[in-house]
Amino acid sequence: MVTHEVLAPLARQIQPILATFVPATAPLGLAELAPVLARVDERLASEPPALQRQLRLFVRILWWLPLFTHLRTMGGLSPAQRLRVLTWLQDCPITKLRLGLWGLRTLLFLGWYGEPAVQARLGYRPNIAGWDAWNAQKAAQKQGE
Amino acid sequence: MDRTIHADVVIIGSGAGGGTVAASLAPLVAQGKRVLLLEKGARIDPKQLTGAEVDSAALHYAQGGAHPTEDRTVTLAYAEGLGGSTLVYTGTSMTPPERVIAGWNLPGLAYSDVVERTAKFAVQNGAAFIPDELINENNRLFQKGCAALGREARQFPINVRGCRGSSLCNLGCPNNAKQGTAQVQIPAAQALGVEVVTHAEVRSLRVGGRGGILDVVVDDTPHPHGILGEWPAGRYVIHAHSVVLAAGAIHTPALLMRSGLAADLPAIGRFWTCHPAHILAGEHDHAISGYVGHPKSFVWEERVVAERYFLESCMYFPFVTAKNLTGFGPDHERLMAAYDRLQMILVLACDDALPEQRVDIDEAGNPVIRYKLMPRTIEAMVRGTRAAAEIFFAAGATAVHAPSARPTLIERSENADLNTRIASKLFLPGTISVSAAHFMGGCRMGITARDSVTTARGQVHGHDWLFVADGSLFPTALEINPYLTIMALADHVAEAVADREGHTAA
Repeated sequence: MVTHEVLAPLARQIQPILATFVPATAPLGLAELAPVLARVDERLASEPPALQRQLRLFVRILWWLPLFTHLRTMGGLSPAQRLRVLTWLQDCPITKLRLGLWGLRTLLFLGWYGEPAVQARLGYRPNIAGWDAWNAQKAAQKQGE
Repeated sequence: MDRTIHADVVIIGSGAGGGTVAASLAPLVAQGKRVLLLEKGARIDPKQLTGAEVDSAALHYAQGGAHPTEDRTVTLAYAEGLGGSTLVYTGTSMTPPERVIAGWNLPGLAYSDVVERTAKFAVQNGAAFIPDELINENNRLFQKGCAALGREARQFPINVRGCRGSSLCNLGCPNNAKQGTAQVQIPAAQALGVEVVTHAEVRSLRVGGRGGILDVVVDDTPHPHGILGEWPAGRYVIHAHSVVLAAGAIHTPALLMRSGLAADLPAIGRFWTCHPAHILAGEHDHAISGYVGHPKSFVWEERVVAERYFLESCMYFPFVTAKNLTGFGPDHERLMAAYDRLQMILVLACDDALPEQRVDIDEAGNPVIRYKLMPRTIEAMVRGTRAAAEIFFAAGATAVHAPSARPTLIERSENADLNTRIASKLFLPGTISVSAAHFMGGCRMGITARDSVTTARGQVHGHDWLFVADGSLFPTALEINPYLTIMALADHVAEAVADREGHTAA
């Protein structure tokens, strides 16, 4: 259970960033984004307050950064423009910026790819019963053919 | 008010090192000695393990499995709980290479002795080869790719009993099949009277009384997958004749630093190595379903001496895979959508033991890992990436994801020159995910207090009551998965402790 919100209050700013990292999330509204950010905030709850502040500041910087190049916020950019901006940051010469982007990307991946339903859609279907479950499933498939 | 406890031997940490020492010293109890095993984490109930990736990582790993180095370019994965990282390892049971042990050049630590002890623990832990019919497609492809290139993939002996092939080793075996210290050595030690105290964190230690005095905090916060602690919550002062540190190569040096020993022992925390690693993925045109079967069956290590890397077959869960694939956006998403068709290989580099690579502590006494990816290490990872790409393609992959390539996806149809496509200049720390789980050094064995922390018997220089018995003893990287060697060294150290106690260890 999330006891402390870190990124959830910035859902509007995060939405276009997450949609760039994981295009399948582009149609998600803020309500659908909430469980993704809740998973991230749960992970961040035990991190030092300074790190949490840095992360929030970094999201705000990302939001405003395109003003210098495109005269628009991140939310006003097309998907292709957002991808170009974030890819530039990913490979930029300033290590701290690269690390910031890597950290945010990793956390948002945790929020999205950590969701069991998303994992199942990728074809990840582990079973505690391992080979027994696998063989039973194969046998059932064979019977159904 | 602090409670005072007296014991003959206190062991701090219950992983491969501490669990082994507890079992080796257990016969002392019958000889009238009180032996305590303190563990900071909880005793995990295997029946509670679900295999859910994010929840399990949060519950069983320190910092969710991503303890960052100070510069945040490497994340470190280690478990917290009774059994230490043996809770979450894959159980690959390897004999250490002679060149490494001989290279340590430690009088009193013969290679033959280490081999004998590793063999003892391999038997004790039930290490054996997974039968051929239970090797999954992901591992077979590694073997196939190696064979096609004339490379010999060596099968790992795995320490499991009753493995069902759930593939969840790295999240804690839900079938209790993996034979870590919580399954083998600690129950054996408890049966002989060793007292196990979980939720017990040692904050500092100092010389005093007949040996050492420990300041311990026992926490009673329940763990969702754990069993409540044995002692009431509160602060304890424990007097011990002998103290054995086995909190791992991060927390053992940190504890010694918190306790002020670094002034006389400048090597504490230094010469730290970790086999930095990253995961590569090769896309195939058929389902691989690496989520069934043991995840790690083979290693290819023929270039470890000349080129400083080795490769292992591996399988990682969706979030860890997403994290490890460099980049984001449509290409990343497409590869993730092919998750069930991904073959995975782990590239591990043999990093140099350098004095500047070290564990330090912050103002609160918590460990800070001042570790940098050195150019030689990056070169090794890049060479390993090229070798892995060759294996993927030889196994039939249609595309390979190489973190140190731009674009990162190399299609088979490109017929690419891998030496040009995969290059060190494209290895950008901070962009490429690098992780590590083999922590070694920080309390290296040696001859003098100037450049080492302990003797070859694990006794801290200048402190006859204090011993180290974990991976922090390694003077250099082991160049292979280390847990069995840690057990062998811990057993060797236990004999020195028993000598001090005037008795014979098991």
